[in-house]
Amino acid sequence: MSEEQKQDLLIRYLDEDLNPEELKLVSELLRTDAGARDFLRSVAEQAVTIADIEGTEADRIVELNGARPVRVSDRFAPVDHKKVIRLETFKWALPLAAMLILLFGAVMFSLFPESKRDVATIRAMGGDSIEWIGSDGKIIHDLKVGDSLAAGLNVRTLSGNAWLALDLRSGSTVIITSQSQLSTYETGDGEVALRLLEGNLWGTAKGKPLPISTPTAEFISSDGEFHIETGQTSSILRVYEGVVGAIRLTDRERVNVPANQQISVSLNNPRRLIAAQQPDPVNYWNCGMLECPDAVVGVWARGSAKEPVRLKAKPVPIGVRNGAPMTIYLSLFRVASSGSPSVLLESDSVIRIRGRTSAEAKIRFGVVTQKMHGLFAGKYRTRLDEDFERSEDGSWTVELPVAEMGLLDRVDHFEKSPVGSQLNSIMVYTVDQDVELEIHQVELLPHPSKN
Amino acid sequence: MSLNEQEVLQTLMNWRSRISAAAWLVVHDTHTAEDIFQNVALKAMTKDVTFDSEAAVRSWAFITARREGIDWLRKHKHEKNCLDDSILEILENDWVCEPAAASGLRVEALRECLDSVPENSRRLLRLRYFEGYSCEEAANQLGAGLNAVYKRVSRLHQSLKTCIETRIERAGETS
Repeated sequence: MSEEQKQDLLIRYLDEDLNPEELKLVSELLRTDAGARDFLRSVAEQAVTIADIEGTEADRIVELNGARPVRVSDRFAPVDHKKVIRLETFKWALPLAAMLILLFGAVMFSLFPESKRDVATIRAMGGDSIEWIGSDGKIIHDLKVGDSLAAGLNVRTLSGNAWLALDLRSGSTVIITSQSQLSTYETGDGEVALRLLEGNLWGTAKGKPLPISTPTAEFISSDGEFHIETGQTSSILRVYEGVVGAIRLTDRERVNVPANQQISVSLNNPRRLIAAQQPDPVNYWNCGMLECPDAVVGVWARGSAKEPVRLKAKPVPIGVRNGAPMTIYLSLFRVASSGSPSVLLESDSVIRIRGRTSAEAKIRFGVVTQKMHGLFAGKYRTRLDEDFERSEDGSWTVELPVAEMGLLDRVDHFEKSPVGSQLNSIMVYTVDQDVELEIHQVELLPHPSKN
Repeated sequence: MSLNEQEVLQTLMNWRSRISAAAWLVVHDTHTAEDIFQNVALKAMTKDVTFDSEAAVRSWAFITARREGIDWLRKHKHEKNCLDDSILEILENDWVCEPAAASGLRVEALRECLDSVPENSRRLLRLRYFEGYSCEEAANQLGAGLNAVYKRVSRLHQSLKTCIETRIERAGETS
């Protein structure tokens, strides 16, 4: 039998088109002929790799029919005999699957040699403290706008007022804000990819597909504008333009999320993944606190009869200023992760916060905003001086008019006032004053409670 | 000394395409083969198994992938087309004994080789391995005869094999 005839026979075997005699012939061939085995192995490797490559390509060419949810699997007409049947996943392994993904992230850095090519350039940044750690684990100092970043970089926006915008080599742009952690890497195919371990990310994907993984999901887009907010157990994606593909890590269930739709991917919710229309914005918000732990940053304290909910500010060292180490004591409250619809900041809106401090201190309040159904739109703040009114036990209630908040960073393309934008999160913090700041309730009201 | 979890996962990822390919030889479906690889990786992380060396990880992974594939065939009553265990073992040994180029390098080499494949041939490969069409169904889609499709698939795989090996060799010479 010639080499070509052997190869044809093996292809027919893989297609299950052999009679019993021919099957015996194939068995004997594979047992005795190393060349035939070499060819069969090569076909098998090519088959699985082609499926992988085509899968990535397929995600890029999704077409929309209006705003209805579209599943990637719907794009390709199901064939009755198609043998795509998922193996049963192990429900008990859900938290361990999350561990596996985190380990996978660590392996990706060590598996593929650090690329000498830059993956991103710093477009803009603001705030007190951004921490950069290179792929060798060393802190990188003095990065500035215009600097290029290599693959393997880990960046954390530590302080409440920190934010960062990156232009990626692939053509996309991303922005992250306070208490977010982002890693850059290159996939095995040499494409730029990101891992958002916590916090907020706004993305504008252009050109090549941009994969972004979180602790619960993988998102990928080549033409979308979107927002991702993630904690350790859930990630929320809102799409403003284009399409973003979403894959739940626990079971690889996939769905495409088109513009004006959103999806929440949670480790604790095994139900079918479905994108839903983004609800109309509201002008009132109450952070659920204990009901949505992924929505808050702080340290939980034991509740009391008087105050069942107590979130203490988290100490965050933010480096050295004027020769002395500086620490902020920060609590942060995120709107999307609380399950709320978009929240509109109106001219009469006030932020009402109940809290407590053990001593007099300057307390700073800030908001992170975004354009309504759009990208990051700046941070704004106000401040209470030490002598504001407190009860004997140190508790206080404040109402802060949003219209009186000013820009944290004077950046030209941000509006001077947050009125008219969408609320992303609220920050409460002190600087270098540990007064046991704790927060009991956070609300946005459409108008002051008293005239 | 036992390998730690990161080392085990690194080995599995280095051998991902081979382990998935071994599973594919049993189940003949690329998506199921991918699921099997993920289950193998999950088992390596979550079961009480320890590995003394990368070779131990590889051997265990191939055997586990084969067993998962055979279990899948039994559940779906496709056992009649499965190769004998002894032959599958020989194929796995061939993989283990072969010097392995990094997985990323092989994927990159295949991607580059696929770029130079004519679109109608690429479409055939997509129908066959991504969409799961049999050669007969692909032949109907493409308006070609079945034997012609068999020959085309066979030649495509041989030429891709040659192309990949050439690119890997070239990459080895320049590194």
